[in-house]
Amino acid sequence: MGKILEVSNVSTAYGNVQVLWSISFSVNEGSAAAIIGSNGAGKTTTLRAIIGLLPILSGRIVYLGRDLTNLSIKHRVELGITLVPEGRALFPYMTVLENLKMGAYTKRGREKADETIKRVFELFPILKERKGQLAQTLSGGEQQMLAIARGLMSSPKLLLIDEMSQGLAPKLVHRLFEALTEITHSGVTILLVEQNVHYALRYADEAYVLENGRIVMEGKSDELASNPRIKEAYLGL
Amino acid sequence: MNTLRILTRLFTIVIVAALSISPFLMESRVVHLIFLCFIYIILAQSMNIASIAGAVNLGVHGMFGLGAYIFALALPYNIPFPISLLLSGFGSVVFLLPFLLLLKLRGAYLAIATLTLPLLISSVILLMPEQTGGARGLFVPSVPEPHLTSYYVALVAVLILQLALDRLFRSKYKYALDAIFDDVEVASSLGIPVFKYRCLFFSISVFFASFAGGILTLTLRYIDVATVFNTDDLGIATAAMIFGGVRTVWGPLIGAVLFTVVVEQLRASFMYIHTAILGLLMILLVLFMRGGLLNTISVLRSKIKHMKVKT
Repeated sequence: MGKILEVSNVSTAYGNVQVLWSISFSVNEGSAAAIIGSNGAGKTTTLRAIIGLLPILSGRIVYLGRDLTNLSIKHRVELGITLVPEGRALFPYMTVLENLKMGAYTKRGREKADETIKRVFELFPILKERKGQLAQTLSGGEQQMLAIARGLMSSPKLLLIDEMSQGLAPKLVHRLFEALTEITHSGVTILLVEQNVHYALRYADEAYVLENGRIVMEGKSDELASNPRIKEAYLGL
Repeated sequence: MNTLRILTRLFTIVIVAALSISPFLMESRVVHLIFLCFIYIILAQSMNIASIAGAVNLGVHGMFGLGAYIFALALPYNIPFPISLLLSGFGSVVFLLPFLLLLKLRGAYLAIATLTLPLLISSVILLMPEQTGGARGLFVPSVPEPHLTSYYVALVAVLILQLALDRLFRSKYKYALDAIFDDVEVASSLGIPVFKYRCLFFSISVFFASFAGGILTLTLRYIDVATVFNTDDLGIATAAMIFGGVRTVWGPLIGAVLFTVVVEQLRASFMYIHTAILGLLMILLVLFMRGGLLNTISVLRSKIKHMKVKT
């Protein structure tokens, strides 16, 4: 399969502070890829640049052969890129169902909304149970499920997930990664950003290690998992 | 439809009917007060419309003035007054189109930017004395039955505004607008066209503020920059919107009625310090009733609901 995303020599900054220094990586269509690294490495920034929340200083981001540089966020979402933001970022006073419907705001999402809701409820049955509840009344794990489900509502081809496991109990993290595997099997490419290196490397096919805004290592996740430097720095082994 | 809805609808119909016949039943001082209420309702709601989309319009008095001038300038060309009124609304929107770029600014910066618009507009008017009369002002041709006509036009405008807002708040767009208000970045990443919506709602806000200026000018024989570009109007509209409840359907209306009456009374009784009292009222408002009357009520109601659940 071809490359769904190609990031070439991308640099970004927040005002005067440069965060990404000419990074390059690519993601194959239908695969599961992870960007790992410690706090402040620039992982969230990378996802924000891909979705368009952050303009890039130099370099190119190419999605399915299209240069994303001048495209609005709305346009990118219509093309099939969706971001599940850090910290869930749900609409707290809207119900589960309303949050899901908001996810299908674009034309692309609306067309298949009913079908997608069914799929999402199959994937996360607890959401179906709680569909009339306000989002803020859900537990952390359920909220994360809702955030991912909302992301799926826009019928994405490429789903960007930011720090999914943050603040969640191990059992829930395990459950969520199982759901991600199902999502990838249904054809959606997932690029995730994770501090939980153990699960990230188990789930993803390929991984990129980001340190201080630069990619310092890359490769197949099983290779990286047995790499001594990774084991020492990130897995505490 | 439950009884509460039916009762509210009946109540509204009765009020509207009463308002429709009051010019013939009440003394002109009262009718004039009601008319002023209408004008301030329109101004407060136009600020509200901008806030709904997460924008701020602190330049309503400028748009009011621009609408007044466009109306006064159109009338002598024998343009029938309804068209002149619509022109005062649409004309302002067209004039201010380039300034929609300001909506890319955030928060306080946008607020300050809109605040400068009235200065800009009034300066343009003062610098074109041949076309606009400049500092000497403009005489407004008379229109048959100016007070009755303006009263009814204002009443219809208020009705349209309330109906439209009510519909909007029940539509799916309300969710998108709440999302924008909640978290602009998340709303953008869902594919909501935030800037487009801000432009649309801001333009509607401009339209109504200017339209109000046109309506008022119907009743006047003479306008000049000092009278129609008045920051007092901004003060009352803002106070009305904040007191009644930002981003609600009825809040700005309730606030506008209250403040119009209060300000007129204050002006009568405390002629020189009425603006100081108004300022004090606003400070108390912001300190103790954040979000305004209607929002405070709904917050209290949900707190009471939660208390009931606990026991």
